[in-house]
Amino acid sequence: MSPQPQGPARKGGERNLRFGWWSLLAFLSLGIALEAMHGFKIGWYLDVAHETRRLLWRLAHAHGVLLALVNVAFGLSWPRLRPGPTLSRASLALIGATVLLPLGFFLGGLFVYGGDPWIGVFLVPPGALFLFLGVFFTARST
Amino acid sequence: MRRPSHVRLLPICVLSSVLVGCSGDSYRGARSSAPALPVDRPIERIEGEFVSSSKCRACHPREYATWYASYHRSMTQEARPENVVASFQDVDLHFRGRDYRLMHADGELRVEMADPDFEGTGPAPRIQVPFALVTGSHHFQAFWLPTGKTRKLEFFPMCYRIDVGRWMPVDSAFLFPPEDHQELDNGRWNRNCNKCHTTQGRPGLRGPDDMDTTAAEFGISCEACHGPAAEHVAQNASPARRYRAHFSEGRDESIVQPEHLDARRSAQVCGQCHAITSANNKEEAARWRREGYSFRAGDNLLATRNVRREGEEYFWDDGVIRVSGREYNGLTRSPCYEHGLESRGIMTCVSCHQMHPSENDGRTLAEWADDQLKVGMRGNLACLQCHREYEAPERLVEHTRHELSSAGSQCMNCHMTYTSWGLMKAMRTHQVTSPSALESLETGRPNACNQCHLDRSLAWAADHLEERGDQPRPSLDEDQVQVAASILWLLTGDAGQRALMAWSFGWPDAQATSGTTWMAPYLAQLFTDPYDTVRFRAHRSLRTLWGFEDFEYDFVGPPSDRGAALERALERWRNLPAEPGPRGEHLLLNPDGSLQTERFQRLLQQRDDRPVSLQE
Repeated sequence: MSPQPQGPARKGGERNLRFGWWSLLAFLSLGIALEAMHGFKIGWYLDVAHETRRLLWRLAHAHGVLLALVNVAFGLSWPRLRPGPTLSRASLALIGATVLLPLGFFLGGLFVYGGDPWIGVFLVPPGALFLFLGVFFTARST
Repeated sequence: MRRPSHVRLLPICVLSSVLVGCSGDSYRGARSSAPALPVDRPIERIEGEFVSSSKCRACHPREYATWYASYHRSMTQEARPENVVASFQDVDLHFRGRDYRLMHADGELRVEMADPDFEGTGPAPRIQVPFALVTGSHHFQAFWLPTGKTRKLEFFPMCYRIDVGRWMPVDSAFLFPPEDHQELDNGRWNRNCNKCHTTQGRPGLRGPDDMDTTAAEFGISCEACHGPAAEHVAQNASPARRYRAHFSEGRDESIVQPEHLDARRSAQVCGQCHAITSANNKEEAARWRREGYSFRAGDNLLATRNVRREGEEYFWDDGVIRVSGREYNGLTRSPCYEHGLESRGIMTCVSCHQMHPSENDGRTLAEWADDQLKVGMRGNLACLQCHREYEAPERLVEHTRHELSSAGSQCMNCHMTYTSWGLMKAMRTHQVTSPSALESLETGRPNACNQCHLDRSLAWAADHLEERGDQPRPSLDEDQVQVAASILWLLTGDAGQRALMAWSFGWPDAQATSGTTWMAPYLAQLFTDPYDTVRFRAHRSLRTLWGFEDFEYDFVGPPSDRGAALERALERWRNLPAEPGPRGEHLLLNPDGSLQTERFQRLLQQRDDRPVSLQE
């Protein structure tokens, strides 16, 4: 049986766990807001002319929820992962991805140029890179 | 250790199952959601410089959505159940002694009819033929059948009129001499309709029965007005280029924006279809027969095509266009276009029309789609964009000499009269003119004064126009002095004039101006008119009169019923309670309100029965 991580290393797992649950709450709330816009047939979200916004906000919601769950899973897996700087980097990368990816999609949908999102969408590529690195570092820590 | 052969075969079997499953799924999907249409029909073929509207949608969703709501989009569609308005569920139709049974079976629209190619003796066997294409979606839907001769189509002889919800012969839908009939099997769609009811239609005419007709897209889509978009799409695949464009003031030169063209080039974008044109050289004509016209949005239309200005099937005697859908002919002969100044404005199509309503338009897409006008352009705002001198109500009233709130103070009622005919109704001419009694005298075209003041004579209009100082009164004969001009056009005019009067008698502005109590005998008289479309419009107008709202009459019923319908209408008119309204000699009415039958019949005998065919 691997030794239980202690001190700062243990805090990394708790941080992801706490961040994951709070993120889940936030992005579930976004989902409820999107459903409400469906319920009240809000044209600014639903009209065909705004399909880019609808797509981006759905992506923000879906990525946010999924990444929140990844953080929860990461936090719960922490005791089974090999401690070290790689694991700490994984922790931070996953948190970074959970902020940047959904935020990029959300900001991208605030204003649209026809089929192109607002420049906030440029947060998405670094977010994707963080996610890739987070999963890579986690895999290396198993 | 060597694996057993069945284990080695397992991955192959799984892969094969997946592939078979996939192909089977797509086949079933295609069958269930989109039944196969006949293969020997015109098809959409995206090639060369064209990419089709589906490419545009990704970057221009709002423009795509507004175009999708337009009747341009649905001008030509595949004959699928979701694209037709009429029911095809076991509908029986009869035309010129032939029986047709429409059916909706296995997801297909079909007609059961006698085999047109049967050459044996005895009755022809009944065959079922699937419909190929449908034209229109606003006023009419017309249907096309494959002939079995390459992609050549045949006109189904019945069409569906949407507003009254009934099938009628295609002969009846046009202003067409009753003794003539539309040619049904001459490849008309391939030769003519394809020119403008598709985007970049390619007739592919190789012989009378050999037509490889295709189009870049059915209906009038993005690239008809913006030009081919392959280069634009390729260039804008780069996000860096797109975002540079979003943050710059410059225009994307890789695509045509008709609103940014100069007024005349902009009008030519619409004029490529909304005009009577023909190739102006042999090479262009030959090219059209093979692969369609070479004109692209932004080009000079006149470099490759002539705009026709004469021909009795299209024009009044003075060259004013007489049929609908050819507004470019009228526009380009209007002073607002011919003598327009860049400083003040040159009237062009997009001065009043818009192909994509703005986001804060306030109208539904369905409301906008009916004429595709900008907000406010049904009224005086259209003209006041340039003619600001009439913005002040007192100046307008001084100019029109009509009350501000009356139809006579609506610019278009005097300057864009309802003297074009198409789709079984009168439409506004797009040749801006001023009322003229002399023009009416010389061409037979109703002038604005008499089209609204239906109860007044041509002499009355001429006197008023002379009094304004606009024009001297022309010399007029006795009837033109004594009898309402509308009655003369209705009783003695040609079929085109009679059709316009049949419509005008139902025009609310004219009814409010002229009263309606005297109109019934005249509209009823048109029930016996030889032209189907005249009878149709007369009946529609009669039903707008008080006491006739429920009057039944079948305009394509047996000729023997027409006289009876006339008598029924007259009987009802005589028995209506006396209402205050115009009476007098000029309306051929006696003081007691009865009809002056002798004068009426004398004029009727002068009817211009020359065959009239308006090729809208």
